[in-house]
Amino acid sequence: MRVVHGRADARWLPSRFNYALFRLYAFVRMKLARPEPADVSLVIDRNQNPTESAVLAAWTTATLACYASGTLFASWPLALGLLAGVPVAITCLEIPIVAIGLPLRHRENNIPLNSFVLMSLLIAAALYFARAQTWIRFAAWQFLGVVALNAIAAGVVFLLRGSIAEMENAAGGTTSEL
Amino acid sequence: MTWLRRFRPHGVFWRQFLRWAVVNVPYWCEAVILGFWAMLFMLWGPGRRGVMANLGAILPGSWALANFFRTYRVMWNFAWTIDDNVRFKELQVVPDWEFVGREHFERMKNEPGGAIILTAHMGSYDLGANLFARISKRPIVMVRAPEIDPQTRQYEESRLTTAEALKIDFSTRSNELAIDLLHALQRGELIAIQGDRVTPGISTLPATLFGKKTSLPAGPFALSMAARVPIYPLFIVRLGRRSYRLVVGAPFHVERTRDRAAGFARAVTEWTRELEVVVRESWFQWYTFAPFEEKEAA
Repeated sequence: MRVVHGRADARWLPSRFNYALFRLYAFVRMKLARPEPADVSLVIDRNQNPTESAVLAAWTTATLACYASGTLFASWPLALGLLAGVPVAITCLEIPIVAIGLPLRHRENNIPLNSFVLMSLLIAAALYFARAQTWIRFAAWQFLGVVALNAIAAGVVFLLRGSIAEMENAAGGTTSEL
Repeated sequence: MTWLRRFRPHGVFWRQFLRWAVVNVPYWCEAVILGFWAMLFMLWGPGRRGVMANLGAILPGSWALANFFRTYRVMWNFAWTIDDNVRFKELQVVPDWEFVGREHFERMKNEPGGAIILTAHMGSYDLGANLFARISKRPIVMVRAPEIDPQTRQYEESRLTTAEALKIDFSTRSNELAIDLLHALQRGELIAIQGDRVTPGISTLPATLFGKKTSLPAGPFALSMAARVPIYPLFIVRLGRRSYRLVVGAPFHVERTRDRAAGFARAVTEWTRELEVVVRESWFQWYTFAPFEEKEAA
């Protein structure tokens, strides 16, 4: 495990982010950041950033709540339908996790598999709802738009891989237990 | 009905379920899922009422309705804390750390004799002890209350993976444990004990916390007096997802005088002062699910 000690600005290291859009944003922030000496130990792990995790959780739940609102609760007032859509969205997120996790319960780590399946299902749902005649097609389009943007960002991050590695070496991360 | 016992609040099912969830839930949707589960924790009546009663004492003049929603925040933090703890054990996922009171931390690491780390049910105690043992390389004995449910105890023991320097001992075998801990301190080891709530069967000292009468465990203070070692108040405060703050306070001693009770009372006051400051600031992660205030017997 790599850890950067004593530099709070290392929170913007791209390797602390998972998705390309966030990595690209982190790269820009790190380029612009000034050294911030602080008594901290920051772990270099691709799922470490709390904002990325919160944004993704809120975005996927909100998108699914829109689908639920526009289909299951179509006759309800919009605000009420969206509110009712939230527990449905959370349940929809949990179903594939349970469906995969139960038969494969003896495996040490199902997270990568579940993450891949869940994201694929979300993209499939967006492709389906993008053809709808109601307002939920906009929710689906924004989802597909963000996925497309992320794919473009992945290409840019790939081209920047040398600069990113250089930036991370300059941050002085060490291999340690903490 | 033995089989059904596993579904009680302290039953083994919930530990197995948590472990299963930790190795299955993708990182990017854990916030939503934990938020949902924290809502289910609110259905645990005694725990919810205990937290609400404690919040009433910590935040005097607060409204019961506001404390109900604050209790959700406590449950939300608790869900994240147990999640972080199991993620560390099962997947070696380590959070970010920031330090407050580094000078006391370094002094404790380099303490020539033993020392007592007095902490509270805040943040991730287990995770903190594991990581501390790895960094300091000093032997550390963590004293904790055993699991109430035998199946849960067996399960937790089977999954126990701690740092080499970390030993875990249980607070129920009080007499033998006291002697073992005294020997450990004399060998220069560190002892980590939670000093903010008592479990049945352990000796206590009277204290005042947030202006209310309560009892605190006597063990850490008696050990400090007997072994003549300092007590370091240490708190592990959760700052957010995968982020913790280690707060180490200035050490204090339990003076050995003719009047033992006065010596204990001074040390307890010192500790409650530290505890009150941290709990008042971070009430949303003080995981004390029973009312701490002792009601006068009628």
